[in-house]
Amino acid sequence: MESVVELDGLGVRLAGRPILKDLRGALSGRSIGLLGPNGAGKTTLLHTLLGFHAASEGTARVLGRDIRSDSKAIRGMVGYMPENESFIPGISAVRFVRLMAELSGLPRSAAMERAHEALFYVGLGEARYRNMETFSLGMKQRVKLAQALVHAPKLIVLDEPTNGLDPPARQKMIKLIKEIAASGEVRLILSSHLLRDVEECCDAALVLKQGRIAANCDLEQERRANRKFLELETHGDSGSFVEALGRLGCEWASQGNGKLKMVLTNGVEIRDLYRLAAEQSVQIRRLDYKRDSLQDIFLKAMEDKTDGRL
Amino acid sequence: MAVYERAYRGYAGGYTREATRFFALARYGVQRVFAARLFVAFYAACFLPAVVLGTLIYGSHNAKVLAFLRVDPGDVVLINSPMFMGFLAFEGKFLGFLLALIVGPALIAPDLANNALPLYLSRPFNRTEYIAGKLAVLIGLLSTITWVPYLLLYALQAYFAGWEWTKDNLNIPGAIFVGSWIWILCISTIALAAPALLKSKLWSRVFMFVVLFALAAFGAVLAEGLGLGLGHNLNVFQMNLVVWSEMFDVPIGEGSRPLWSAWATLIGACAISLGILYRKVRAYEVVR
Repeated sequence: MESVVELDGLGVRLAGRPILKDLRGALSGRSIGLLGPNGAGKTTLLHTLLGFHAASEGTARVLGRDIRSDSKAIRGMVGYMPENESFIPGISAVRFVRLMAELSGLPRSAAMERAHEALFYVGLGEARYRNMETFSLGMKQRVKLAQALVHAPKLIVLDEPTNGLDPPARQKMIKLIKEIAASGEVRLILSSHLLRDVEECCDAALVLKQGRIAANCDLEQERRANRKFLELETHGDSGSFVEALGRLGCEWASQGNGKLKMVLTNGVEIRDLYRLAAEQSVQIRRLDYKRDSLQDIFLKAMEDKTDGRL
Repeated sequence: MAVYERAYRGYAGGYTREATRFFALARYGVQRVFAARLFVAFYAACFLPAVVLGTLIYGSHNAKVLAFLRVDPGDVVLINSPMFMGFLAFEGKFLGFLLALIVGPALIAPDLANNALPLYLSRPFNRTEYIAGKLAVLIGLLSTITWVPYLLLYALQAYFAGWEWTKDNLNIPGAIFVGSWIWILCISTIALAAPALLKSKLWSRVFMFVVLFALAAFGAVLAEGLGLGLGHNLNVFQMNLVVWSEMFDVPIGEGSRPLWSAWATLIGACAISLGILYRKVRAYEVVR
């Protein structure tokens, strides 16, 4: 898959302080999570990619365009949902989204049509003629999403889209983001300090720490790998069961009390485990996949050297 | 398919020209300004001086009207350069200034106060286009009350008065057009710079009013009290009058300064205002 962002020694200094340092690597994937603790440089990286801040060293390419020379063209291909509360007061949601579409180059009639569609799509169809200052935080977040996708960009950049949302509103937002990513018509960068958001929506992740890349991983691959790691709780004589597992070629480790951790080898399926257990008169009472891959990656990245270098 | 049943879909239609996109911003600005009824009433009142001058022009060339009003044709007010300059000065420097004071801050302050700039500037739309879009609203509105009606009035007078008058007053249309544009640009950039600095409609109006008039008063004290003629240069209204007097060929007495220094003041005011605008109109401000 073509890289969404290529970082080529990118460094950014703001007010004389280095914020991003020598970022190198390529971000590919349909939806990419940008993770890091507060102050890691996530928002600065997004702003630099959009041309809000100038690169002090190196460069980056977004969808093949250089941020130093093609900033305007990049912004034409990108839809951006900012982190902070941002809106134009005194106009209705539909007029606001329509204006944003027109500024992106859509003709007036197309902009109007897509503004209505975008607002229906994010679930604000009934509220589209209301002035935005009357909206709740969750509604304002959804309007920001609508303006980010109204001009059908190739890449949508979402900066902390679930900030300040209550659980139902967060669920709605995550569902929308997953739907957009699944549509296949657009690539997505999601910046968040919430691992769960990235875990649910993204298939790749870039972890930043103190302005440097601490990890750049393919979550889809990790998930596929994790499907091989199992945790089991058995009842009965587990000794003969684990011996049988060994004969199948699976690695295992006992945690006592019938609890096992194991790795499935190629060609061995879950149903083989149940068959084996039945043959050995052992009950499998619980079977879980390893689920905390992103957390492991994140914690490992944070624990690695203090300056964030890999 | 009903609109609410649509899933996310791409766009395959055409795009507008980049150079014309700032007009969308200007169009929205004008619509918002005219949404206030009080402003519509004020805007209509701004045409009164032009209507009065039009009536004077018509009346002074109409024997029936003069007879009806029992005015001797010899006593008819002269329609000439000072007349046009006087009306235009009232229109631009009083009503135009008030219009800029009302509209300018309302165009920029809400965007800055509500963090709307990242939304504008994350599109293929830069700061220059944003400022151009906002300036276009003020320039458009101020043009409709200054050089547009006064050029029409000049044409009306030329039509009634004939070739001799037109030949003797050929400087007037140029003075109306160029003079109006100088003042419009000056007052518009100031009216946008103040809210860019203060992010509040009310305070930027107060700031504009106080700064312009306080500077003028301070300049007058310097000029009259201490004999420093340079003090007059702090008064943009006065310096605009100096430039206009040269263009309309109408001498002004008090407060006259060399033409170059008047131009320097007006250009300086525009440059400072544009500098403030470019410094403050950013997607995000870097806190030092």
